[in-house]
Amino acid sequence: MMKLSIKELVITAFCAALTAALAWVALPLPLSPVPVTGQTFGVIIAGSILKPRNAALSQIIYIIIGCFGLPVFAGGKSGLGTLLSPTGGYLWGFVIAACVISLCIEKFGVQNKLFLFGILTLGTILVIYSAGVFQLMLVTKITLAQALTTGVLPFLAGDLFKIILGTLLISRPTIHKQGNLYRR
Amino acid sequence: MAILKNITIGQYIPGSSPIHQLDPRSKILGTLFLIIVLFLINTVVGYVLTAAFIFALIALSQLPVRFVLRGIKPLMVIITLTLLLNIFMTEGRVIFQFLFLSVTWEGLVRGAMMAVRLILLVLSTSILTLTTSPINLTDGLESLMKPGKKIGIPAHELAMMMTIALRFIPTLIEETEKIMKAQMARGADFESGNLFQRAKSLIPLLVPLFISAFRRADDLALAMEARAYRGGEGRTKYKELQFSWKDGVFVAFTLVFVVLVSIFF
Repeated sequence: MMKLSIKELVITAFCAALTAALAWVALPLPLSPVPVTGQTFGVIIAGSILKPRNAALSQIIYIIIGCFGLPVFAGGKSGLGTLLSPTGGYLWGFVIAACVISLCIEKFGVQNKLFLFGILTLGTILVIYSAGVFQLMLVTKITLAQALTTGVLPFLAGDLFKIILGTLLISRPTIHKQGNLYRR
Repeated sequence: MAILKNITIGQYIPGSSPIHQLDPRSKILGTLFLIIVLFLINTVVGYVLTAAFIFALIALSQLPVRFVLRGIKPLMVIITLTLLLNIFMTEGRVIFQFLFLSVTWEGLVRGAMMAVRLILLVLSTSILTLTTSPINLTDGLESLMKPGKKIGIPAHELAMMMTIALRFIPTLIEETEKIMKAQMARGADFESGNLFQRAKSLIPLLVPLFISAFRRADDLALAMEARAYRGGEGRTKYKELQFSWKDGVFVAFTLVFVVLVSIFF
């Protein structure tokens, strides 16, 4: 494994801290019982400014901190129990998603907004939900259809919202220039 | 748009019970063993024994039971959901029927077991986090991961990143609040408009937050470099972790319990 420079080490830790801090920002949605929380932005920002390996690392750190009992998961939850509970799959999904987003952005860049939208849709919706539904089915032993209705449908509107925002956000020059700093 | 408030950072309750005094490494190992056993057992007796073991630990740790049980609350919804799904969706001997819903004996047993497993999972991990401070946990984890260095796990770097993140989470939350208020004073509206407008209104919050986080990160990296930080190689500690005979006894006892329960039940 390649050694981390001090800069990489610090910025990776900060991406983890940002994900955690954003979990506390909750936005109530119309027509949905579940508020939208901001961690996805943490995943998106980690994916867009860090190298694939560091992006995954930042989310692993975030999860470990949550397991230590700091209330940094959605809705102020914490503990290893959350990670192993039916909804823990979404957290594992963050690790893969940050890595996937970073890889895609490395390949396609951030210039084309439509492309970026596609990348984020792939990264957040496809990856995070697959992981989430997988664990939901595994732990509670319910069928795929049941898992989809309880674990995906209520959140879709909120996630579409986040992806639009994420696209706007990381196509900002002030943000994506940071990526050029830390990807080298 | 609201910042979730009234959540205290950290669950750690200082104390001097036998469990508090254990080395963080042995507590992490013990918790891991318990988690493994919870996924291996599938008989009622096994669950009862494990529950008894966990409650004995809670008693030993002298934690207020109310505090330990509070950890279950956020998971109540998902526990109830698991219970209900299992009760109504499992096929088997029907013991009760209401319109199209039927309760089966198998479903009842399986649902109860699932719910108990979830509750025990939460309880066993809360004991760890309630009796160990985050910094101790980080130290313990670093020392446990040291052997992993050979296969490329950067133990010291991971621990350092955790410490940095732990230090800056409260700062960043405060910063978020401050930026939000500053933007509201300038007329930012976080609460009205359709989905797309609201998405856009979050940008004046997130962009400054990210920029300020990057700036802080740069400052910190510079400060570390100026103090000649060069990773874990040859670094000494002010407080060394001590693995005493009590830890040995605790780990051995838990291991024996876990092996016996998973073999017989």
